[in-house]
Amino acid sequence: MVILEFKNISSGYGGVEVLHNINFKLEKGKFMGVIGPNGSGKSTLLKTAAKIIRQYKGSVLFMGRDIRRISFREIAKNISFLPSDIEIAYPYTVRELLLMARYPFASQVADFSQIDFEIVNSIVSEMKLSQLLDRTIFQLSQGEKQRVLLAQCLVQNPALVILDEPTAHLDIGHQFAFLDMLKEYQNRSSLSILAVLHDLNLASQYCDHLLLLNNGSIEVTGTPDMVLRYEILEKVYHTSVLVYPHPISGKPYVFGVPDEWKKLTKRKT
Amino acid sequence: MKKTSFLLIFVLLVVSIIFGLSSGTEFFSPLKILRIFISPDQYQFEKTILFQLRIPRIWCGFLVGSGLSVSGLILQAILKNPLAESYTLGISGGASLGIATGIISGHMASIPVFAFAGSLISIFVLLSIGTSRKLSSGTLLLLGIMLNFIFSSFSLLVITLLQKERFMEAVVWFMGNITSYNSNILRSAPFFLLPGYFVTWLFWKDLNIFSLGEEKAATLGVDPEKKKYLWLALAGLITGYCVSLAGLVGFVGLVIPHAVRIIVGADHKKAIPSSIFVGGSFLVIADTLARTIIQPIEIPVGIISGFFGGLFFVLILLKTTRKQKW
Repeated sequence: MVILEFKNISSGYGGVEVLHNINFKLEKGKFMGVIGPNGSGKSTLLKTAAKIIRQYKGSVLFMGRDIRRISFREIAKNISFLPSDIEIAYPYTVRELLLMARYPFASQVADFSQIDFEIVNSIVSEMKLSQLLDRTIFQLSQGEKQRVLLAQCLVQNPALVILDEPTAHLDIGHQFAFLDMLKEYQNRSSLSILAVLHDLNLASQYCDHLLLLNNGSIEVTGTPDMVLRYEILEKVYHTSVLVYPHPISGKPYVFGVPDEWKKLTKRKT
Repeated sequence: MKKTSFLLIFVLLVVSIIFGLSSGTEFFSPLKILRIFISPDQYQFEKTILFQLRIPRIWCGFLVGSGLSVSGLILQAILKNPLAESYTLGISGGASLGIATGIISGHMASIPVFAFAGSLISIFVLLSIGTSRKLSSGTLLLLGIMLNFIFSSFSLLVITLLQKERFMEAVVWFMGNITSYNSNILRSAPFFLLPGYFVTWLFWKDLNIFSLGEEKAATLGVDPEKKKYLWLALAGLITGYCVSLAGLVGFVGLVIPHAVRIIVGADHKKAIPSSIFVGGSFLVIADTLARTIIQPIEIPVGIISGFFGGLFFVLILLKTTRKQKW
């Protein structure tokens, strides 16, 4: 079943077209990674999928329905979005932040219901956040903060999560912990995931499909084996790379090469 | 809400009212105030001071302080900017321009309508420049402060040109002053302000969601465009009434929400009612100081609130730039 489909999407900000004629499908329960150089339109693609950008040509279909015909509230019950570098301006506690994600389900004026509290509690225990509940977001480390923000997305009980560079400021331990947790939800509740990942090797290890953007167009899309090939990457990123299989997973692993070593290398793939 | 913070706010309210009732050229002890309330006919002179002067003035101060705090809270959430408030965004200035227009055209009775229109115009100017130029929240604030100067200078100029004899009165009023409030406006104010507070509190979840930023708000189910303008209009209405009553009282809308977040936290369910009471009490205390600190002269309350508020603004600025929160 196709959960998300882009049909001839040309999108951008304030009249400047960033994406040109994008077509792709995301199957339910799959993890799709969006990769590409800086400024290639990755965030624009995510924001178009999340109905944050609403002026574009073509159509975005969620479960076959045009998202422009679905209300914000209805979308929020099915799709959650984690922006990149989200700055929270006020000292909300973790508990308050998680409850906010029940907003699309709650009454406009009445308080949250017992069900809302129960769903928050179950995510809290699954993600081991109970120690943090009464702390404010300002008191958390970067790793904890990112975990809370993912939990907030999951409290929305979504069919699709859209994440914009969720591991950007995390160390290697927190990067893997974050993506492992995401993967667990993908496997357990057939959550569909669309994420921009800057790190090609993380994308390779975790994603079922990759979508490589170049100057606002799709260069290639497919499994990591199909996308992460040196001839494609060198063309798109304008640098020399080597690609070897990961010793354990067998997935492609991309090595960059500093200038001073280039003359010593012989090409291998 | 924690019991201690509730108690703190309640004590502040009681203290501010007693302070306001007892202080003045004639000092009344709390016991005497009680006696005047019980048998007013025995205290003709004191009764007049209490019921004709001090109580309306406390009520006016309370409404203005709470209104500025609530509108500050709304603006800070909607624009996701902790330094936003009607004064720093130029909305108060816009309201003053509306009021100046009202005074000149002689429509004294509908001053609040002019103030509301003026604040809407300044919101419109601020947002249209802000969004077309994609200004950062810091630059937007700078623009707002400049708009405030432009609007209030212009309205002061207009008043002075057309009614020279009212120049001093206008200057004092522009500094923020509760001495010369219009009692007709004070009578109608609760009918607009109190429902405004109630609506704000009823939709506390909206403000929580908006304060995460427009992108996140949209993906949590808020229609960002439609609701944003409704909220800004509500903040404009409240600001318009406050400016009609007391002129340009600065920084209350900034300081009080910050203080409240320290006491009860950021959740708007608690922050809205707390801001109403803390903001009201703060301005009652500031106004009582303003009319008693250099007797027999009454200084504009804006001097007191501006002094403490400005000081607080600088402290927040130092703290936030260090943490790079905006």
